[in-house]
Amino acid sequence: MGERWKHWLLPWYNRKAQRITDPVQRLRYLRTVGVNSEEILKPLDIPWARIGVGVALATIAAILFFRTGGSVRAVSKGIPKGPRPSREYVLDPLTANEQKVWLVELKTGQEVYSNGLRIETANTAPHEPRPEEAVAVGRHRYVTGTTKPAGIVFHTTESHMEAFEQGKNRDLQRVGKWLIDFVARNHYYHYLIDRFGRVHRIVPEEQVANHAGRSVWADAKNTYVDVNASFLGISLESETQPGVLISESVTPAQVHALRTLVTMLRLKYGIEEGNCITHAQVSVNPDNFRIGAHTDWASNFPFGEVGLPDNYLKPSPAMLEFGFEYDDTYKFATGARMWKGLESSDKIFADEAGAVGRPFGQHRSELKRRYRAALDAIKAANAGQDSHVESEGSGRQDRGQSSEEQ
Amino acid sequence: MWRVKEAVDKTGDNRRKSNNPSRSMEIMSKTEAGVANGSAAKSFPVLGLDVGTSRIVLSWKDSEHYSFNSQLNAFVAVPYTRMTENALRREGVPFEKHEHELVVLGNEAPRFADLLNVEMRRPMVQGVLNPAESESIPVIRNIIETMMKQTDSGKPKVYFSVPAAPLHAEEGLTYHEATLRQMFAEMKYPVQVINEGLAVVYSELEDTNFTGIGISCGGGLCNVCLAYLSMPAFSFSVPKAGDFIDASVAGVTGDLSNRVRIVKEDNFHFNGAYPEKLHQVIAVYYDDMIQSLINGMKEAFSNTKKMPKLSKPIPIVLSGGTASPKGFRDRFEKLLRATDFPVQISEIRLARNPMTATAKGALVAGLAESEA
Repeated sequence: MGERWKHWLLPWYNRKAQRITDPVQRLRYLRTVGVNSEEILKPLDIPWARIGVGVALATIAAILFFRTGGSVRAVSKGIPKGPRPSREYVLDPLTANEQKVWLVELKTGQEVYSNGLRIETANTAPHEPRPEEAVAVGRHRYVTGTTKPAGIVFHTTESHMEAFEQGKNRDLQRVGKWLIDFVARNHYYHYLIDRFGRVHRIVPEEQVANHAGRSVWADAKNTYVDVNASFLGISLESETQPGVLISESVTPAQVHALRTLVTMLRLKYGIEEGNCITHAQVSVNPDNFRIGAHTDWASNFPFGEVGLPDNYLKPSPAMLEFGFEYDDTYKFATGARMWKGLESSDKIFADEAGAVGRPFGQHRSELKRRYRAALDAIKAANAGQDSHVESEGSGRQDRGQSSEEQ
Repeated sequence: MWRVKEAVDKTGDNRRKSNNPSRSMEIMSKTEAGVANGSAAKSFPVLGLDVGTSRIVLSWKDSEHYSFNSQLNAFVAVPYTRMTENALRREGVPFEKHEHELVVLGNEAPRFADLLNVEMRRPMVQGVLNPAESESIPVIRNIIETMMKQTDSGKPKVYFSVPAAPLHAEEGLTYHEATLRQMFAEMKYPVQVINEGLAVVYSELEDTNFTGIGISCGGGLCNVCLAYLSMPAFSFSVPKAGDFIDASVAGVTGDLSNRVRIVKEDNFHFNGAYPEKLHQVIAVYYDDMIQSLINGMKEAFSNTKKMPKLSKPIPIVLSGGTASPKGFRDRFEKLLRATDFPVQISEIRLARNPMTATAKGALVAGLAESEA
C-alpha cells in the first residue's frame, strides 16, 4: 500500500496549508508533509472482508509456523539499486534438441511446443494483415512489408514495475494484466513476455504490430524501411532503472521463455540470426537524422543466452544506407558492445565515401536525400497514387553492388 | 564551429571574454546585458526559467519582489558585409558576428527581420528544440547567458520548464530535456526541471492550495496540468498554439508569420468587431486553436485513470503569450461551457501576468524546495 494511507489525511493537510499565508511556505509544506506521490491521490478501496479472511489465514499460518520450529524464511532481495557493469556476451548455443521444434498441443487459450514454449493466446488482438510491398528510389529498392516475417525486434515495455517478491504476487499480476490489456488495445507487439516468463500472443504473426515506429534495418538481400510490417516484435515486461544504462530487471524465466520463443520463430520462418536485433538498433528519427529515437535494449540484451550471435557488433544500416548519425544521448544509452558496432559503421561510412570520391558531408547529404525520397515514395504509395509500388521480385542495387532477386 | 573572439561593447570600454571556449562569437551590444529589467549583478540562490517556443523568461526574487527578464527565442542571420555591420552599429542593434554572418538575437530579432523582410529563425518548434535548426543550442545558450549576467555571480540553481508529452504523440521530449540539461551542465548551473502546466499552478493557484488546472498557451504547444494539493495528477500538451495561428493566418493573408505575430500580440482582441481582414482571420484561427485545446482537454480528462477524487469544483488558470489578448478568457469560457466537460469548474481566470506565470511558478517551486 506504500504511503496511500495518507489519502485519509488530505483534508487535514488542506486545512493546515490554508493557515500558511506565504505561498512559497505553503507549497513547501504541501510538498514536504507527504503529498508527494501520485498514489496518495487515489482513494483507498479497502476490501474489509478480504482483510478479515487474510488476518485469519495469517494467524493460522503463524501458529503452524511456530509449531513446526519456524524453518521457513522469506527471501526478499528487491530490485538492486545503482549502476551495474555491462553484461558480457557469452554464447549459450542451441542444443541438438532445441534445433527441431514442433507444435505439440493446440487448445483454446494455449499452444504448447516441443521445446517447452507455451504461448497464451487468450489476449490475441487481430490487426491488419502484413503486406508484401516495396518502394523504388532510383535503382534502389526498399522493402516496406513482407507477408513472412523477415526478422525479430526486441523491446522493453518500460512499464511500472512492482518489486519481484513473493508477497507482491497480487500486485505483480494486476500490473501484468493491465499491461497486457494496454498493449493488446494498441496492437503494440506480436508477443509480450511477462515477468513470470509467460508468453502472450498479442498480434498474430501474419499481421502488422505497431512496435518499431520509424525504423531501418538491412540484411544481405534487402533494406527494410518499415520494420513494423516486415519484422516481429517481442517485448519483455521490464523498466529501465534510474542510474542503469538499460534495465537488467528481466527475470531468468523471461530469458528462458524468450529463448524458446525466438528459436521457434526462427525455425518456423527461416529468420536469419543477424535479423534478430533490438529496437534501439533499428529506431530512427527522420526529423534530426539521428539513430536511436528509442533506446530500449540499447545495451545488455542477452543475445548469448537466447542463442544468438552478438548482434550489437553489426554496423548500423541506417547510418550506411541513409546517412543517419548518432549523438551523445544515444551513446550514453548504449554500452561498449554497441560502440564497436557504431565504430565499424563510422569506418565503413568513411570507406564508402572514399570509394565514390565524395567528401563525408556530401556523401551523407546524398544518402539523406535517398531516405527522404523513400519516405515520399511510401507516403505516395499509402495515398494510393503511386506507381513506385513494386511486387515482390523487383531488382535492387545495394550500396553500389548488384543484388540478387528477392 | 564558431571561432572565439573578444566581446566588444559599442563604446569600446566594456570588454569581456566569452566564457565558453567551444564557441566563437563576437557579442556587440548597445548595453552590455541588453536586457529589460534588473540592475547590477546579484547573487540569487534560485532562478526560474521558462524555456518556451516563443520566449525565454527568467525570474528571480529580490527581497519581497519577483523580477522578470524576457527575451524572444528567435534570431535572424544574414550574410556578413561591412555595410550591414555598420548599419547595425548605427542603429544600436545587439548582434553577434560569426565568421560569415551577422546574427541578431532575442528581442531585437523582429525589428531586424522586418527591416530585411525575412522570417525569423526559431531555435524551438512545437515546444521542443527545432530539429531543423542547427544553431538551436548555441542561440538558446547565448540568450540565456545574456540574461543570466545579472544573476550568475553565485551559480544559482535553475528551475526550468519543460512541456508535457503531446496527446496522441509518441513521447519525444527526452532529447529536448537531456540536451538542455547538458547545456546547463556545460554552463555549470545546477538544474531541476518542472512541468510547464504545473508551474502555472504554482504561480497562480496558491489560494486553492495549488489545486486546479494550469494551462500555458505558448508558441508551440498548449500545456495542461491538473494538480491536487500541489501534486501533479496528470499533464499533457496540445500541439496547436500561437505558431499555428501565425502560420495559418499568414497562409491565408500572404503576410509574414512574424508580422501576424506582432499584430496578434499588440492590438488584437476578441470583441466580435474586426476592422481589418487580418484581425478577422486571426479570430478564426484563434477559435480553431481554443476548440482544439478544449477537445483535447475533454478527451484527456474523460479517459485518464489518474483522476483524483475532487470534493468540489476546481479553477482553471490560463497563461502564456497566446492567452494574452483581451477577451481570450471569455472566449475560452464560452467554448468550454458549451462543451460537456467532465470536471466541474469553479472559475476560469487569467494569470496575473500571462507572459511570466510559468517562469514565476518555476521559481516558486525552486524557492519552496530551497528555503528553510
